[in-house]
Amino acid sequence: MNSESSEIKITLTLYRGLNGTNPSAFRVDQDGVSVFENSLPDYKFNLLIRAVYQGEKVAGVVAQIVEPMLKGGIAEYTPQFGAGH
Amino acid sequence: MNDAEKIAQVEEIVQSQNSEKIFEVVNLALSIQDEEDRDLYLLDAIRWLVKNRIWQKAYGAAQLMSDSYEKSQALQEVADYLASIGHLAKAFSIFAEAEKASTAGSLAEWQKAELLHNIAKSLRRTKAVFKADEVWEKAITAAQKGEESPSSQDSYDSSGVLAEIAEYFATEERIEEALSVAQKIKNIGKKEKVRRQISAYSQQIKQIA
Repeated sequence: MNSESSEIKITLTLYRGLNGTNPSAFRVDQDGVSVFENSLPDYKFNLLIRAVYQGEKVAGVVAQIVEPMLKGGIAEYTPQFGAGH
Repeated sequence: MNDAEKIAQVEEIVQSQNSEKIFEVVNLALSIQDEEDRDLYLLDAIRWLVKNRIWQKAYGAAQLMSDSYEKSQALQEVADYLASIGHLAKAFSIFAEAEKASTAGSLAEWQKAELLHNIAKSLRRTKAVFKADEVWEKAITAAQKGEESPSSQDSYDSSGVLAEIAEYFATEERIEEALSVAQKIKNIGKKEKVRRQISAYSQQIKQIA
C-alpha cells in the first residue's frame, strides 16, 4: 500500500433528496439511508452531508461523516447499488 | 403561542403521562400552523391516546390529519390497537381507511409501498390472510411503479421496499413467494443481496426440518 496516498483525506458531499422534513421523508432500511454523490434535482430540498475518506475509492470504502449533528456516522461506497451510491 | 411553544407543550404532556391533559393535547397539536409539524405531533398525541386506550379520540384526531404518510400510520396504529382488544370489525374498517390514506397523491411510490407493506403485516397478524395478500399485491405494484421513477433515489428506495417484502415472506417461510418478489427487483445489487438472504432463510428452514 502506498502510505503517502492513503493519508490524503478526500471530502465528499453527499445528497439526500427530500420532499418533506418529517422522518417519513427518509427511507431507512437495514443498510441505513441512501445518499448519492450527485445532487437530486426532483426534490423540494437536498440535504447535504459531508463525509471524509482516505485511500482508494473502491466498493466498500467507508467515509466518516463530518457534519456535527451526524458525527460518528459513516457512509459506505456501494456502487453495486447504482452510480454514485 | 407560536408553533415551537405548542410543540414543546405537546411533548411535555406526552412525556408527563398526565391523563388529565388528554383533551388538551389534541387541540394543541391541531392548532400547530405548519402542516408537516401538525401531522407529526398529532401522530405523537394519537400514539399517546392509544397507549391510554382512548381509541375513539385517537381515531377522531387521525381523521383530521392532512393526506400524509403520518395519517396512514396513525390509522394503522389505531386499527392495530382495536385488533389487539378483539374489536375486529372496527379494526378492519380502519385498516381500510389506512390503506386508502396510503395512496395519497402527495406520497412517493416507495412511501405508499412501505405503508401498504406495514398494513399487510398488521392484517397478517390479525389472521386476515387473504386481505393481507391483497394489500401486499398493491404494495408490490406501487414499489414496481416507483422503481421506474427517473429519480435514482426513489427508484432505489422502491427496490428497497420490494427487498423488505421478499425478506419478510422468507421469514414467514413463504420461500417461493419471497423468490418471486425478489425476481421483480430492478436494482441488481439489491436483488442479489436479498436472494442471498432468502437462500440463508431457506437453509435454516431445511436444517430445522
